[in-house]
Amino acid sequence: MSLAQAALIAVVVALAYLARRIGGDPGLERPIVLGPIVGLILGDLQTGIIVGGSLELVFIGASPIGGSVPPNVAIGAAIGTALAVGSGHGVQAALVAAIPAAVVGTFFELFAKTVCSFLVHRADRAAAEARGRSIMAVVWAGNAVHFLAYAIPTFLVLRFGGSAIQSLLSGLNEHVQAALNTAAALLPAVGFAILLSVLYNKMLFPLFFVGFAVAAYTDFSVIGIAMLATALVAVIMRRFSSSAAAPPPAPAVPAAPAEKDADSAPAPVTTRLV
Amino acid sequence: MSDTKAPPASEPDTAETRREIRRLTFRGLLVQAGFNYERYQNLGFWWMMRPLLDKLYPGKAERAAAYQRHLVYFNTHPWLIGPIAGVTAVMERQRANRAENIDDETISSVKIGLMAPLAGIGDSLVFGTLRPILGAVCAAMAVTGNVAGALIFFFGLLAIQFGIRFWTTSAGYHTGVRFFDRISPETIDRIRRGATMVGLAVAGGLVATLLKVQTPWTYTNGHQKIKLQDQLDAVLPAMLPLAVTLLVFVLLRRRVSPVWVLLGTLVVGLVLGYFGVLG
Repeated sequence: MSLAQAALIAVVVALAYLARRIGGDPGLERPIVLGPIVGLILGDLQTGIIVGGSLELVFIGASPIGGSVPPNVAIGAAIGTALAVGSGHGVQAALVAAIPAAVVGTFFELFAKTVCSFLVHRADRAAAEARGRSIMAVVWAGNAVHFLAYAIPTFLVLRFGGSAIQSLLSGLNEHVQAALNTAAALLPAVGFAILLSVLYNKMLFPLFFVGFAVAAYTDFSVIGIAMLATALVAVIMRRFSSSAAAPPPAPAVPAAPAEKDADSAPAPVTTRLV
Repeated sequence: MSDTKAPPASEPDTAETRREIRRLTFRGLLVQAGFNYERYQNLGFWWMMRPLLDKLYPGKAERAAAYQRHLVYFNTHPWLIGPIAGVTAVMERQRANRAENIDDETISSVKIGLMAPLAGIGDSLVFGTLRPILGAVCAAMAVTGNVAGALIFFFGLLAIQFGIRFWTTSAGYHTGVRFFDRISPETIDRIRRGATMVGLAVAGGLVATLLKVQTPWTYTNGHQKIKLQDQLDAVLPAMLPLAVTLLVFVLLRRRVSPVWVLLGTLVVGLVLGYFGVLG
């Protein structure tokens, strides 16, 4: 990989992650979007698309909810795609390289958010004197920290780490190839399980098996199940609201959030790590 | 939940109102700017409110107080910042006009009261339902090499997001502090539950359709070679994907870190594949 390609990919990864901060969290860092872009930079769009789609399934449940720090999907996708294109060992090898890269990438995200915690105190001092410009400087310093925390490690791995992994992969025999295939097939299970644990609710959980049974025994696609479920939920919701007695008057300004069911997931708010 | 009620008399004409809603909506895109572990989205929220605060409080002392008021801890779902932005803008305006019932305390408590339930809705609706559904459908396209998967995912998500942002900011602005009279905690909880139900069913569908865990094992019965996978399929199609997912799910429920689960699955997959147990 050339210097220019590595630098370009590093900037793209950092911008995709920065979009979460200053672009309204548009999902630009998802592997399905980033894979094709990285593929295009390296001159192999097709591999980029396929690797991106495969990685999307692995990380489908990886969202910054409820105290979990999700693997850094942007760094993982970029390095996985780069390796798939560069090594010629296909999607499976890419998936296996992307997981450790994404896990290590999490560290840099933690680092950026921690550095910004120190910056906030400068904003406090500026606010006490109503210096809006100084607070703006803090905001953009924070954004710059986030940008560099993703760009630098991505660049270093792409520029200097790629050849080491490639030489490791060059000695593949039949059994190792089978091992890679199996690991790649198994990994999306983690994505689906994380999604499940995010949505977990004791009372509603059996609905997971409804969705599974419909898909396993029929030709329903995921979108078909989504439509079916949405329609059923709409009916159930209407029935509940019409059979209920007069709804209790809502408080004008509730000081506390809505009461939660005992069995519902704990409120994720205070620990959100977006 | 569209709103047709006229805004309070203290509000400016509709052209300026529209401009303000537009500005709040676009500035809301940066709500996570300078995200930090101490106060989360506080810098972004201040950034969003700043033009309004500068306009309402020309005096230095009042402006400093307003800045500090919006630099406290804040955290919600980034897509659903709209209602909070709208309500807060209206409250700040009324406070600047010396409305009796609005003080600093009220503004803070309404912000806190809104951010938790909206985060709950956003997490189950966006992260738990919309994005996984769109991601799975588009990934199924992408793994066959179709670039449409990536394009539909990105632009579809963008369109949904902007729809939600404009509509909710406007709704929050126009309902002002009466927001909770219209959207009660019960309604918010119902939306959250509905999204969770759809999300769970979809997760079940994902496991059955997109997880390709199989076993290559065969055994000999007399002269017949029998594939274990065919036997399993006869009992329950997609039995292995279901078993693997539930196993990982149980580990996560037992508070094993997702990072270790991910790495563990990688290693287990490599080992089982090497020895031909799964494949």
